[in-house]
Order: sequence, then structure tokens, then C-alpha cells
Amino acid sequence: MNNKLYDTLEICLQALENGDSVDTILTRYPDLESELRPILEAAQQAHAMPAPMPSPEAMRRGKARLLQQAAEMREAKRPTRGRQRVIPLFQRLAISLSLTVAALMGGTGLVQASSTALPGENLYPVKRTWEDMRLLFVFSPTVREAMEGEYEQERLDEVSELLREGRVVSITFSGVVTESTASSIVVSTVPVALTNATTFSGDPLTVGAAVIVTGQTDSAGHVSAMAVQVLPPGSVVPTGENDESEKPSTVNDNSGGSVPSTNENESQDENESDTPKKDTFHIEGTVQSVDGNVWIIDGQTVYVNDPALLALVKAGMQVEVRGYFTADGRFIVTQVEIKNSGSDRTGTNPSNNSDSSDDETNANQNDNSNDDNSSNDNSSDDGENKNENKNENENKNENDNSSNGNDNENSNGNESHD
Amino acid sequence: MSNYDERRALEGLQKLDSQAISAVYDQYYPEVFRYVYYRLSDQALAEDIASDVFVRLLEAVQNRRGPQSNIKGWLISTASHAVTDHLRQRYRRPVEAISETHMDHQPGPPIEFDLREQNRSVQQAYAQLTSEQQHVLALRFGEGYSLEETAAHMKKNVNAVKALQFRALAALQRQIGEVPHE
Repeated sequence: MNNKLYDTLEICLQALENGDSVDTILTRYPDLESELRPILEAAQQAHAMPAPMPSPEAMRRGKARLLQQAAEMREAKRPTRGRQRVIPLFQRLAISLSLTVAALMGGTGLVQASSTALPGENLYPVKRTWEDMRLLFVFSPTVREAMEGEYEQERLDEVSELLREGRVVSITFSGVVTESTASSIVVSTVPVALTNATTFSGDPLTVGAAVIVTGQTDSAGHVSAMAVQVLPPGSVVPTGENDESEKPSTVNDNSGGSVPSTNENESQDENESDTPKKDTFHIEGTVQSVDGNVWIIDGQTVYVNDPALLALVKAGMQVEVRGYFTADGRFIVTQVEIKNSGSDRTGTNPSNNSDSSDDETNANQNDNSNDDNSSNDNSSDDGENKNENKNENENKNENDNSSNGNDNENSNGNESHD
Repeated sequence: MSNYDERRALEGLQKLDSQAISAVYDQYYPEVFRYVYYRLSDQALAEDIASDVFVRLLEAVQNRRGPQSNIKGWLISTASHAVTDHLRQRYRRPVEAISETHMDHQPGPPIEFDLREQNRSVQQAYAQLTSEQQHVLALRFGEGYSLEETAAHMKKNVNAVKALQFRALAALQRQIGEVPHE
């Protein structure tokens, strides 16, 4: 019954909505008129209740308030977003770092295995790539330069190893030309054969020049050069192995008592700070010019850092100088032997030389003239003595003199130690 | 109206996009206001409460408690709760009779005066109804919802709404008869 009433009411409400009057509607449901009439009249009044529109001012105000609220929410949201970003960023960094460490740790075995690889071997690219990677992460110019020098030395060592093993491999290395003939050169202890096919570039090829050699090792123990590029002065290249620099000289005829051994590895000048390699080389020839501490001997420019040596040599003298090449390819003179001064000085007496050469000579002379121990004093003792500083040399001379009770040798180079 | 897109509006609300917020406000504020006014018969109060409802919408969307699809339904429902809250507070702290504060006492022609008097009595009677009865009448006669829309909004079946609206109208009629005429 109620359901019928509710359903009929709904039909009546729709009719009312469509504009029918209550009386008209009720004529359709005479049996329900008593129940429906008050309901429909109430509905008519409920429908007639005013429904004004909001004022534009209120709408504007409400919207402004809402947008202000949104702006505040955006402001409040910003730090939250920042924190949310920081965490993923940190996580990304942590993950990247972990992966990098894992890769490096995982690759350590391979890299270590490749550390002794030589050109032509399977692991050699790993070795070179590892070197490049290390350089990639070095930002200090000084450290980077040192590492590059280390790697250049490594190239030189590789070539030496290949030559020892007699392998035939294409190589490229750099070094200083220490000897030069028409058909060969020696580059930082590595013998290099020059052929008609060898191409040259850069400055003229001279002893002391820094060069890059591209060629092939052969079983004969030398490198057949395909290209030799002479680098500009000041280029940093390795000068050769220095492992033997501590070895005492082994060759010494000692007959004249004045000529030190040839090509021995001597530590010549402790005052020379830029002497990474102290292999001793000698140049013999005529002094073409003397300009301050720069001499030119048969076309080869040499540098003299010891003031005591500067006074000894004049242009036109026939000399034999000994010294070493610095990392930048300069030849530093540490000993001078005047072969023919063209003056009152006799050429073979190097007694006025300074530094270790003085001591060496003094020692020789002391030995020869006064000491009856042996004629080989300068073999080992002198070798050690050469590694001492000037004061020590002086002391040794004094000791020698005092023990001999002979001061006639004090006229030698001791006074040159200013 | 034609440019309004409910899905975009929701995305814009989520991003606190000013344009989207404005669009939602323009689209629904009049309806919310009308509903609240129908319930309270107070212009200024209806404007304030309607405005509050939109702020609540913004907060709810940011807290992921907002509407998923039907913004209007969410707004009317929230407005209904807001009105109920307001009425509860007013009942706890009655200040003045509605006739004294909210009715229009502006002078006018006699016919309009009668109409205003009639509206006042209906509003007074309406104010005596239960919240649910007020709500169903506001939806049906204030908002113009169909029976089905009203049922969906109130989460009731159609027959329950039919019965509810019958009882609400009967109660209104009774209250109108009891309202003292000046």
C-alpha cells in the first residue's frame, strides 16, 4: 500500500515539476487524494523556496581565498618535494658509487693481471685503458704530469722487455736521443735502427733531442724505426732506466789516474733538483760558443749549473763533458775535461773541476801519488764518494791528506768548493 | 561549461594548478551555494560555508582523500556535512531566533510581503525537519536531482528515497501547519 503511495507521489511530483496544478494531478488519483494532497502542497512550497544566486562579490572573495589557500599549499609543498628529491638523489649517488666500486673491485684482478702485459698481448689493451681511466680521474696538473711521465717510462720499459725477449711487435715510445749515427740512434737506452723508409718530422734530429719513435721491435734487439718525430725543446720524455744509477763504475783504466770511467752511472750533482735520471753521458768536441751557462759543443747545446765549471771553459777549447739529460731533454754538464785549451792549461787535467769530479780526481791523485793501497781506489770507494755531497768530499780529501801526511795535493780542486 | 573536463580538473587540483582550481570553483560554486542556502536560508552563511567546502576539497585532494571522479557529488556531500555541523553548533549555542536574524524584513508591496511571509514559514518548518529529511528535499527541490540521482548521492535505493521524501514532505506539511502566523 505504502509502496503504491510512494510510487504515485513520485509520478505526481514529476507532473508538478512539469507545471501541472495539484488539483489537476489529484483528479487522476481520486482514491489517494486525501493522502496526497498535503504532501503535494508541501512539495509545491518546498519547490517554491527561494534559491538565490550567490553574489558576484562573494564568489570573487571565495575564489581569492581558495587560490590563496592553494598558493600556501604549494609553498608548504616545496620543502617536502625537496626532501623527496634528496632521497632519490642520494640513493642514485649511492648506487652509482656502489656500482663504480664494485666495477673497480671486480676489475682489479683483470687490471692486475694486465699490469705486466706487453704490446701485442691480449691484456695489453686493458692495461692501456686502465692507465687512461686513471688519468681521467686525475685533476691535479702536477699529479697528472707525474702519472703521464710514469706511463711514458712504462712504454720505454715495455720496449726494452720486448727487445730482451726478441719479439716482433709494433710499438711507439718516446725518449731522449743519446747517441746518433747515420744509420742508428739510441733513444733513452733503446737502440733504434734508421732505414731509408724511416720518416722524420719536427726539429732536426740531434743528440739530446726528445723524440717519439714509431716502429717495430725485432729479434736482433733493436727497434726498426718507421717514423721519428722530434719534439720541441722542453718536451717531457723519459730518459731511460735508472735502476743502475746506484751501481759503481766498473770501468776504469786508472792508468793516467785522471780520467774517470766512461759512461758509468754516477750521481753527479746533488744540487741539481730536476734530475730524475742521472745516467751519465759524455760529449766530446770543440766549444763553439759560451753564453752564460749555455755552451754549444759541436752543435750540441749543453747547460752548466755549477758556477765553478763556468770559469773553466772558453770558446775554442777542445773538451769532453759529462753530464745527464733532464726530463725535459736538456743536457746538464757535471764534469769538464779540457782536451786542448789552446792556452796555458793542459787539456787532460780535470783537476780544477768541481763537485764530485773534483773529489774523484783528487782521490785518484791521492791514491796514485801517495797511497799505496791499490790503484783501484776509485772503483768502489770513489763510487761511494761520488754520491756524497761536497762537504763530505772535502772531509775525505782532508782525511786522505792527513793520513798521508802530505799536503801537496791541496792545490787541487778543494779550493774550488766555494 | 563545454570546456570543463572533470578528469583534467582532478589532475589540476592534484597539482594545485590555479586554472584548474578556478574552473572547478566556477563550475560548482553556485550549486553548492544553492544547496547550503536551501538548508540554512542565510545568504552570507551559505556563501561562507560554500567557500569552506572548496577549501576542504583542495585539502582532501592533496591528502588523497578527495573525489576520484564525481567532484560535484563530493562537494554536495561535504556541504551537507558542513551544514549539519553548523546546525549542531547552533543548537548547542542558540543565539537568536531564525525569524529575527535571517529573515528578510525589508519593506515592500503587500503581495511580496505575503510571499516573504509564506517563505519564512516554510523555511521555519523546513528547519524543524531532520537532517536527512532536509537533505533529501534540498537535493530534490533545491538542486533538482532526479529520484535516481538523489538515491545515488545518498547511497540509498530508489524505494528508500521514495519513502524518505514522502515522510519529509509530510513532516514539512505538519511543521508549516504548526508555524505561528503573525
